Amino acid sequence: MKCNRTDIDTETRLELEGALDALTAPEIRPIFDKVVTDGRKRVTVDIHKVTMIDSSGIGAIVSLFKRIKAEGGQVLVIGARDQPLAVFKLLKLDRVFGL
Amino acid sequence: MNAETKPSDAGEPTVTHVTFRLRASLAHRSLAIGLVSTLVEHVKSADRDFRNAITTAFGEAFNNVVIHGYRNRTDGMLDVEAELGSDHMTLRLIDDGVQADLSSVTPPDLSTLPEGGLGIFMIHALVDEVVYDSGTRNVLSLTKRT
Repeated sequence: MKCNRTDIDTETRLELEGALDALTAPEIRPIFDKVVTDGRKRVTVDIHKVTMIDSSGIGAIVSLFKRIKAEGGQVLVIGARDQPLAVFKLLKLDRVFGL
Repeated sequence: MNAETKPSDAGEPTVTHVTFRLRASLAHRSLAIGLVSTLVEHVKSADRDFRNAITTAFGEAFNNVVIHGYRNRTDGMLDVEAELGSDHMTLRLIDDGVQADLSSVTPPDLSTLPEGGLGIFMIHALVDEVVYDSGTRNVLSLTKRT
């Protein structure tokens, strides 16, 4: 799993690539934690290169969402397709993240 | 990996049985899911939604075996028996780790955006039949029909 972070003005974009699952979510969480501690308020998570997601991966994104929102910010998820999109819809997260 | 196709009797659809065995490790998760995804190609009427559902459910079940069933163990093995019909697929995950009742689940309140406890719910939501038998070995059967 790769995660590229780009900060442009007040927005942070996180582009994920590969499988976001029980194996890789623990690798990604510290990157998400840093975004939170940096006080970023507008975060976009681009998952168009994510091939598979499981409940652990969903948990990492939801955790990021809750913490950013608690500080008055917002998190958008973009680019979901195929299996990841199906999982977001199953868990009724497509509307939460603007998919 | 072993595969056996039952000869088609008069009027009976052909069913293929495939088994594979691998170490129950998260490092092998993508390999196991890839194998299941390949097997879906032999379910004639399966479409993309079917593939997404059965591979996602299998992945959650795999996680449960590794993380909970074989907690604090690195020597756990997982046997997978797949039954492939023209209109269905059954996966049996067999392990000898700690047993866990996966046959029933209390649906989570999705409106609260839970960060965990979703795996078993997802399994039940994605397949048509879930059977868990914790005898000498734990056997979780997942059946998905097209």
